[in-house]
Amino acid sequence: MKNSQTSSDSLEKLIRDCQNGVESAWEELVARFGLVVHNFAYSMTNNQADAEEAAQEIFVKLIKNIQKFEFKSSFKTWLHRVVVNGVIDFTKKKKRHTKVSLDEIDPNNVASIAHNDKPSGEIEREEIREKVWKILNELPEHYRAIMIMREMEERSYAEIAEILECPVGTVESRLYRARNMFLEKLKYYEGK
Amino acid sequence: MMSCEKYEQLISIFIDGEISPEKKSELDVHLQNCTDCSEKLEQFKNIGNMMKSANIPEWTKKSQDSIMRAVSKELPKESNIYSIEKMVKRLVAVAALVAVVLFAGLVNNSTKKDTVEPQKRYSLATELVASNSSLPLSVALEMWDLSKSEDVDVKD
Repeated sequence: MKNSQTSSDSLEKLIRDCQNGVESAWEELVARFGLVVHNFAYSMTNNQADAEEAAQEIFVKLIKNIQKFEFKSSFKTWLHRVVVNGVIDFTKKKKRHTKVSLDEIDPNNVASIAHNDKPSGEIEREEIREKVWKILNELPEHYRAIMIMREMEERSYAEIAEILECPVGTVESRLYRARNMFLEKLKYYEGK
Repeated sequence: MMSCEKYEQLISIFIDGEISPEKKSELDVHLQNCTDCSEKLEQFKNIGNMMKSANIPEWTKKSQDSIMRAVSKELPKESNIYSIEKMVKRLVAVAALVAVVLFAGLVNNSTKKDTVEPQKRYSLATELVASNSSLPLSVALEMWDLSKSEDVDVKD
């Protein structure tokens, strides 16, 4: 209890220092939350260079918006809201430049990387991973984001609802639709 | 009786561990009688397993540094409250120094007026009277005052 109080006090001080433009505080904020931002950005883009670019954009956005945080809610939730919305905007912007249609993809070519020297179990796992990224990339941004928050980050419905600022019922129905979309694409790639 | 689509939504909620006990019992009964929904349960679970197997490249110090470079460029250094505080402190220090110098100057000036200047004024006036015996001392003193105000050396 005492430890969590201390840690929330130190987080509050860190945020106040960031609001005052203290560079060392920003360094600490990047060290503490950079991983979360990077992982979400990578999951949304499936591209390391894009993930880094998105993460940079998010932190620049945070500099411009951190004054708006008034300590009335959880900083982590507020931060994730900025991250989710920022990365969704980033992927939409990128998509305008590199649009790929499902019809242009040959299902037989999915997971076609040469696996000559790998054991069959590893090849299978790699193929699954490739399918996951391909399918995720084809989901509309909002469905992709909610799938990542639930299946990869393992967030509760209440947390997701708070981040997306929507009712829990919306989270339930959006996840259900996202799962069905995922399944449809999976069947397509598996030729079923 | 709910449709399979409604049960499918319950399956999605169930695999996330967010279903209420009442809805769970309802779903249990339905799953015992519906092979399509039982299959859907397995498919939805499989998506979760597949997604958890997808690996994300490691978060490196290089990535952290590249973010920090972007952050440093954007930090509003001049509007930084600490810079303002420093600037105010510097201004106060300069103002205090100026005040000390001015005060010292005033003190010095007033000391001259009270001690040195009247003596000088009087001795110059008496010199003038000595060189010109027809000149009254009061006029000589006025000439000294006039020469001071016009910044003219009386001796010349």
